[in-house]
Amino acid sequence: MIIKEMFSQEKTKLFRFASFILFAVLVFSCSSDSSGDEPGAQTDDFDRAEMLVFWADQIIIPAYENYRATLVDLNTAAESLDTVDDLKTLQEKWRAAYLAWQGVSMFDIGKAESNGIKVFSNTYPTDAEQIELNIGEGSYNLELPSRKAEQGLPALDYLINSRTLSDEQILEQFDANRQSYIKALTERLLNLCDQVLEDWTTGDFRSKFIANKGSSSTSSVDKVVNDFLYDFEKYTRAGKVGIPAGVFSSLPIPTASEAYYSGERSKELLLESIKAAKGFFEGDSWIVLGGGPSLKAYLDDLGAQKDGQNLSELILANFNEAENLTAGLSSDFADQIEADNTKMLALYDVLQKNVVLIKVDAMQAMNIQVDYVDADGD
Amino acid sequence: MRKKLQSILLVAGLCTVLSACENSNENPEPVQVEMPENYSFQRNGTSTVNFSGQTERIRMAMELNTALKANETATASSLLEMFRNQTAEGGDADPFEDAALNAASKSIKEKVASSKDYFSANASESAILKGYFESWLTAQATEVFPNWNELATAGKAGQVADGTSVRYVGTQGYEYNQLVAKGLIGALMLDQIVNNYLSTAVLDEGTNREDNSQAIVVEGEQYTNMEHKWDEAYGYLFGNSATPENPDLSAGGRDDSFLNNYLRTVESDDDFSGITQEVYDAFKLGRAAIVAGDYSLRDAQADIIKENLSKVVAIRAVHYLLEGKEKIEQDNRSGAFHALSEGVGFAFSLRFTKNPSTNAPHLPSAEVAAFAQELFKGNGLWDVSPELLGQIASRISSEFGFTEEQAKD
Repeated sequence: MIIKEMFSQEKTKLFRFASFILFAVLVFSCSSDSSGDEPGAQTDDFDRAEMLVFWADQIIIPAYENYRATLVDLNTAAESLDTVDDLKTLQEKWRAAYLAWQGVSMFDIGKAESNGIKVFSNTYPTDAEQIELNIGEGSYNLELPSRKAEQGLPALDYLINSRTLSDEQILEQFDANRQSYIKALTERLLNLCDQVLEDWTTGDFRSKFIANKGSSSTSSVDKVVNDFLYDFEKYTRAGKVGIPAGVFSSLPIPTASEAYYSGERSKELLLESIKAAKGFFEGDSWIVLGGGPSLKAYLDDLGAQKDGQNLSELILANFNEAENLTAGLSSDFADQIEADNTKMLALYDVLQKNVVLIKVDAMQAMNIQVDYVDADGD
Repeated sequence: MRKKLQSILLVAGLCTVLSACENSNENPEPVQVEMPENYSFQRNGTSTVNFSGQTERIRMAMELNTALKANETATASSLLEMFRNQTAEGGDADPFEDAALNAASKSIKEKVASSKDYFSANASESAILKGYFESWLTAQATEVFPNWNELATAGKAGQVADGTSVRYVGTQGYEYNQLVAKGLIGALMLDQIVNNYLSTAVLDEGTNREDNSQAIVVEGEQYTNMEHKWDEAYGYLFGNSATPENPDLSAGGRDDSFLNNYLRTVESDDDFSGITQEVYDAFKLGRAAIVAGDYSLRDAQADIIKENLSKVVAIRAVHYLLEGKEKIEQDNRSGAFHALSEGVGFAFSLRFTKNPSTNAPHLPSAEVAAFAQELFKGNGLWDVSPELLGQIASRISSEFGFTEEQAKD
């Protein structure tokens, strides 16, 4: 994970420099040719097919492979839980898996959509009461959709971390039933990921995905862009920040923070999530140094503007501002909310600004329709 | 959207020109019925509007909706009691939370598939249609409730995931609660409005016209019979509004879970925006026309309502059928069941639409029944082909004169 982080920071810088040059060239060439450059006179000859191949091979599949590797480690670490060191290893593997999850959360397409990996892997707040009942009874069917809040990374957070107990005390609770529940959770996470990854690699999903290169509402580009936006709006903006900060309720709900029980991971998970969104937007490759065809390039190709400014630059600036604001927060959002919730709210506003830029301006420019509405409650 | 706006502006401009011309022409016109500001009408200083029976049935249906998900408390007999507001033996039942509903002598069932136009001489079909609702209510309790904590598979009731939601389906993949709710939109609300209370057979029944023209009111009431019939139609759409004389027309809002909700869902689609206002205006103007004794104006408004409310059911049927079709095509079959349950419920409701130019449903009932036979055979939604769903959606949209694309968003 750490290696990947350094690597990606390096290539991001390089890519920025490259895109700056590209931008300068574009500006220069435009100024010498003023025809057909009226605002609104956008033509779409962007190569969507090339972008799909790049997304599949250099972002989505590598991100899942990375996530899978962390789950294999996590699953192994859950095998023997005898000593405090075993527990510490498990906690560290859980952390790595949770960080890697942020890189795949947005790709809710293909098997991921039908097997429900997103809701089964990261629904929080977790249902601690029901988890205890399951452990007590020793029987549970984790495949039931109604059990989504009793499993996944948040359920593990509850079982292996604590805001009040020491590691020794946590370990004392690990009777046979509890250990087998933990193992069932790590196996289920791995199994869900395997299903998705296999569909991409050994199954036929990659070829279907690439072949579906049109611009209808069910085309791959339209779907992925919607998934990207949905994840950023509902999971990053609302789930990680808005809900715990009380944007949607009369009072803040600090216990609804991601990784609440760890007491120290919510900030880095949010940062990783913003980084993943930004990286996807910029076309940040996981495989080679540099970038590829991306939403940013697509918007630039269309000449998309907002209030006289380059739309993609505005979106990037917002991602950067969100990262900067997040960096200034406590590593634990529950603490941050108790201490000074206004900083959470300010961050929420910046994230919301990007939701609007993407959902309204960028989607309109790319002629992609938003395919989801807020649930109508039935 | 832009094109549509332009044409509205154009029409508005044209109207201004025309009315300006009319003003310069000083010929006295026959009394013009003016568009009332609100749905509020009075005689001798007292309101003449009353639709309490309709509001009650909407509320009964809402309680029934809730009970359909009460897997731990509801039973087949309690659900049937709510539908009939009677015990199985025909005795008085108190199945509702709201005491006023228990006190009511009315029931949902008595008005299901019971319009004058379609069912007064067709008791056998009415009984069959009522029977569907009772079979869905029973199956919810006997098939779905016992499998509440099981994973559904083909031929086995239980849970399926629908994004972040959990849906509870029967052996054929249908959510019976959705079939009931969306079926009631057609069989109760739409049928009563367009095939009963706005039917000339009902409005002009007996001496209604003479009485209305002479302002002879129903004994003990402030309204004429005809006024009251019109109001009862209105009540099935706006009766559960907090301010029914001036209802909230906003897109995406809801005063109940039935026709009102879906009219306003359709309103939020740019392709159909303005439909709620159009229906509301037709109700107001038609009611004012009755007061003024202008029966051709009344019938013109009734046609506008029939046309638009029938269309709402068709649009939502196509919308959900296509949503389900796409999910199946993306290998997310069980994730399609919720949309398909809604879509099939709305498709069932097509039986109750009325095409004002033929005074019949837009699609022949035999055709709707043939679709149903395909949809409910074998393992139902576990087997249904996306082609069949596409075929049904395309048939509906072409019959109603909108495109699948328009209905989709």
